[in-house]
Amino acid sequence: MSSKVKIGQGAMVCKEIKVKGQVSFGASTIIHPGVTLIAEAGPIEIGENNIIEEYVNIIHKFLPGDEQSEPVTLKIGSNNVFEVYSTIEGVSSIGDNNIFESKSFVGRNLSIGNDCIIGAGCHLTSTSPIEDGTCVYGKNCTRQKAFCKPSVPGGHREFLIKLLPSYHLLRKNKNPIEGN
Amino acid sequence: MASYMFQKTITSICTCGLQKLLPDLFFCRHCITLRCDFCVSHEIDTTYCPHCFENLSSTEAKHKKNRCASCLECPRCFNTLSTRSYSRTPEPKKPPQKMYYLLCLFCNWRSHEPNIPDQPTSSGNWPVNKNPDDGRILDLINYYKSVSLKEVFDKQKRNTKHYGRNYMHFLEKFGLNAMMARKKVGFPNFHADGTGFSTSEINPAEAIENVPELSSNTFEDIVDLKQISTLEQRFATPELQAENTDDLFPIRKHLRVKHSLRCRVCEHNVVKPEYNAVKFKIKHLAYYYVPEIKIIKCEPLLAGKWSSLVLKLCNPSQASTAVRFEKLDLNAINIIREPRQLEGEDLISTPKQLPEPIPIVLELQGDIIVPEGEIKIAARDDTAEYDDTNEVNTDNDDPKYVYWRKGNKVALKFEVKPNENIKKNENVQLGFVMHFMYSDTMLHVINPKQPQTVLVPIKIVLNLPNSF
Repeated sequence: MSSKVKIGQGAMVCKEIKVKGQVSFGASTIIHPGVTLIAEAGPIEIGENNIIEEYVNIIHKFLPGDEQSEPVTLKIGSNNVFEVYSTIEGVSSIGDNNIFESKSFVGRNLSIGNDCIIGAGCHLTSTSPIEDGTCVYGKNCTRQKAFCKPSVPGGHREFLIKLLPSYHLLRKNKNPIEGN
Repeated sequence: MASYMFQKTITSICTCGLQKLLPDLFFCRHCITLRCDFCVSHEIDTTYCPHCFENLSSTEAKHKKNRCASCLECPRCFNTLSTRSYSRTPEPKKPPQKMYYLLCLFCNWRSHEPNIPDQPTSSGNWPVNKNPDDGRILDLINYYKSVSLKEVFDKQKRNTKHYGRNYMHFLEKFGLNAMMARKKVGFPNFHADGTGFSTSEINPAEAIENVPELSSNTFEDIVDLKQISTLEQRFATPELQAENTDDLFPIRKHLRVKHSLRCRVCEHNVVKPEYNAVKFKIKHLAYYYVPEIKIIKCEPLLAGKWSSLVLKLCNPSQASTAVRFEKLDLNAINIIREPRQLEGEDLISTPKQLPEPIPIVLELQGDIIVPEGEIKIAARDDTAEYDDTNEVNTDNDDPKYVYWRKGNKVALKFEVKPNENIKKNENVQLGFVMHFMYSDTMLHVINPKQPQTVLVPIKIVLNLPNSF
């Protein structure tokens, strides 16, 4: 699998992940094992302080038949949390401070703003963009105003930083000049 | 996992004539027959809150409008709200104060000021959103109560002439004793016969002339769907129906009811829950007594050709049983046999007839050959799973019918022939009667006897898919 991985400072990327194409991880981003990142339609840029949990799929591919188009960069902002088994497929952009809850699915050509919560199991396939501060929940993917900014419990990040390296091998930059 | 229970492939016909799945049926141990939820009477046992499990008496529940006093529900997604805390310093020099707010863990709704101010105690005392028309609604309810009372009085007045010349019952009926007591003390008398009964006055609703105008841009403004509550959310609080999601208030949790079921024929309890626990005192489900039937093998069905069908029977009860099969006679299907009864049965009351049995309309699309003779099924043994040397005596089995047996399970061979004119992709409906041996282990109060066994016939309908 041809891949070019760039890991920012303080970022923790487990070795047991699948990467295809060019992916860059911002500073202090934590990637759990079992994550799949496919950057066929251009590079994926993951911002700072993101947490990507086990078995998350971030797939950035062209539609079948569209393979010859111009490569597009998929930008994922900062402070996002992708919970277990959430799938991001062909999204156009993702802002900051979002939470993608477990087993949520975000489909093609959807852009997600800031401070959004995509509820557990929500299957989003429409292309109307999700505005800032929206909460998507329930089996009908009802979109309503979020009353509080999504937040990760304090100490969760510290806990992961302490625990992950003691049980998993971490990936390091191949080119030492780039990273540290 | 539970989905196989909802497939309507194998159904049993209840005594009342309805086709039901085995898990939906009850088994009355006194009538020794199947009962479904239409032929048992449902009684309210207790009311309880599904979240905090507090038991309430029926009057208490009525007083609280059938809602829990302490548990709240998310107004957005109707899941239970949880209480969260944070500390804030109201004034710079004072120690920080712990404040609590409500949060829905599912949709991330949270109580927000100023509608629902954060509270200093964890138990809340969350403000109840008062309906502005509460007083009026109460007036109307009281008015209708008095009207219905008047109706009752009027009816009683009309009925009095049927009593003949004995007036002694009036003493109690119209509270003459109480009237005399009032007279003695010196209170004014009240009109117990309803002659001077007057309903309280209510002022009728009035229409107002000047209705506030809609703002001019009502139809032009772009609607922000994020801010508008859904119909579901509005109907959850019918008295308020807030249009804006900001105005949603937490809903007090609805109470639930534990109900006990009683056989309508013999008036014995079929299901009775235990007070203050998630258990049952009495739980006579058909699932615990009647051998469960599952299809394990079915050859492709061809019109007018015999094909084999293997059914697995599993005995769920602790006593061994025996089954016998019989073809379903469509002409005699609606004949209800007299209720079976054990010898020395202590009856609470004389058995009644079911109100009206539903006539069974059944069309069979084929023929079936059922195994002959009696087939024994061993009792359920929870330890048998761990026992390798679990051999069942297979000497008496006819290999023509018994496919295999293991523990309390036995697989039986049936032969099935769909009709000649069967259409493609149409299910083949077949039926047979299974008699199973029910051994009565109840302790009888009047004359203790040896356990008795009774053959219980159950009509089974198979609905076999025919995709060829």
